[in-house]
Formats: sequence, C-alpha cells, structure tokens
Amino acid sequence: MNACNVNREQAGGGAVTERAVFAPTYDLMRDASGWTIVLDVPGATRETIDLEVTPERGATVLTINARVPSRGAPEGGAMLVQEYRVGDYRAAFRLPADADAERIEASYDAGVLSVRLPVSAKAGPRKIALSRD
Amino acid sequence: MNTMTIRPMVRGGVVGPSTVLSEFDRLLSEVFDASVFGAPVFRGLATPRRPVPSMNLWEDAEAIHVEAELPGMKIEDVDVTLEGEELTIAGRRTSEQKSGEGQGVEYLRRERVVADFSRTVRIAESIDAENVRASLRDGVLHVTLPKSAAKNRRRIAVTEGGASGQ
Repeated sequence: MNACNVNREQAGGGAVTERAVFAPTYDLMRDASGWTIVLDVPGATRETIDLEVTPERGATVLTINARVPSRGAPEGGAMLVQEYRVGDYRAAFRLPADADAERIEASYDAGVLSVRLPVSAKAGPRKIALSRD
Repeated sequence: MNTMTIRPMVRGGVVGPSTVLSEFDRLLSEVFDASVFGAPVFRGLATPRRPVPSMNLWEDAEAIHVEAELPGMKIEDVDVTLEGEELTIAGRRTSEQKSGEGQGVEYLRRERVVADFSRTVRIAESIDAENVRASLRDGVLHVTLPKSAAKNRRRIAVTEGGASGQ
C-alpha cells in the first residue's frame, strides 16, 4: 500500500474551505451531423451540473461546471492513501462557427456527461444577393 | 494492473481533409491554455495521468473505506472481491466504447481511459468479511470494510473494589 500525503483540508469533511477545481478528462468526436463531447465527472450529480453558452471575444463559449458533493474521511477519520482529491469540475469549449449552440443537448449517467453539439442547419457557404439600388 | 491511455488522434497540423476539425481542436486548446476563467484552474490542476482506477483509502473507528472513481461503469461491469487480506477491484469497459468508430465518427481528442482494469490493495487490518459492503453511485465506488476488532470490542464494566476482595 502506498503512503500518500493527506490533504488536511480535504480530509476535514465539512471543514473544507477551498475546493479544488479540475479540468475533466474528455473525448471529443466529430461525425457528419455534429460533435459529441464526453466528460468524466465522477461524483457529480445531475442537479449540480450546469452548462452555459456565452459569447466570448466574438466566439461562442460553452462552459460546463459540475459541483461535487464532499466525501471522504469524516471528522475523526484518518486518510490512509490518497491518490486523488475530490473537487469540482470545470471545462470551457470555444464552439466552432458552424455549431448550433441553440440545439445543444446534454445527458448525464454514472459520472459521465455527454454533450451533443449539432452542426448548424444553415452552415456552409451562403450566397448573398446583391441588391439593386 | 492494466492501464491504457490513448493519446489524442488529431492534434495540431493534420494533413488531409480534416483541417476544419483540427482547427476546432486548436481553438479548444486555446480556451484551455489562454483561459476564460483565469489561469490556475486549467494550468495547475488539470487532471493528471494516474493509476486506474485511482483509489482513496481512509479509516474511522468502525471500518476501512476504499473509494475509487469509475466514471461510466455499471454495477454489472464491476467486481469487488476480498480474498484474505487482499481487496481487488476489477472492471470491464463495455458497450460505451464500441459506439463510435467505423460509423463515420472521428475522434478529435481521446483522454478517457478505455481499458479493462484490476487493482488490488492489501488491507492490513482484520476485517469482518461477512459484512463488507460496496456501492456504486455517480461513477464512484465505495467499499466499506468493517473492522472485526470493532465487532469484537466489548466494553468491560469496571466495578469498585477488587477481585481479591471477595
């Protein structure tokens, strides 16, 4: 068994003052009709996951926040091995121009968040007619 | 232990028809590196490569607790066994992984671990094996191993006087 440093802040149960925020590991896939982002957010719950789309420097940014309820050694318990810390997750994706941010869908199951980002129906070259004056 | 990490398949310059895709990937990296939120969030604490599954162990008066992060795993994919003083957590990644490829799906980034795994820890404490419990919730496995010392612990009443005082 490997010995590990105990992070007293985390081990303190309710007495956690500052939470760690992690960038979740994720897969990104592309197919003909859009993109799929699959993120590992173990410990998060459906109720504590927030997705937000905001304009940012001329692009659209999808921000994902997942709050993770505290768990681990309670008051009076002792950490024996700590290979990971419990914290929240945050990820941000600048969306491609031809993505349809209005139709983003997300689902959550067993610590995995899947986000579906469809290609905009009006993506692709668009012909602009010259108006007569 | 069987750990496998698949590196991102499209990263940086890509020759061929994927320029739009690699552009997207580049934009993503920009967001991560250059920060929407301010630096520390993504620089210091990006999820590190770790053994799979990572484990935390702690104890209280009653039990040893073993916790592992197993995102995406279903109960039927996980085996927890206690043999003597060795606790083994094993799992299979099944359906989810088969979904994409070969059907016009291209991975632009692949960080999530997709291998079967098995990890064993030795519990240096005598355990009440009959009452070991395991639960899997939101991708977190929690195994509670009650200490048999706690079970056998008996409070001895102290009486006044001495045994020899009879």
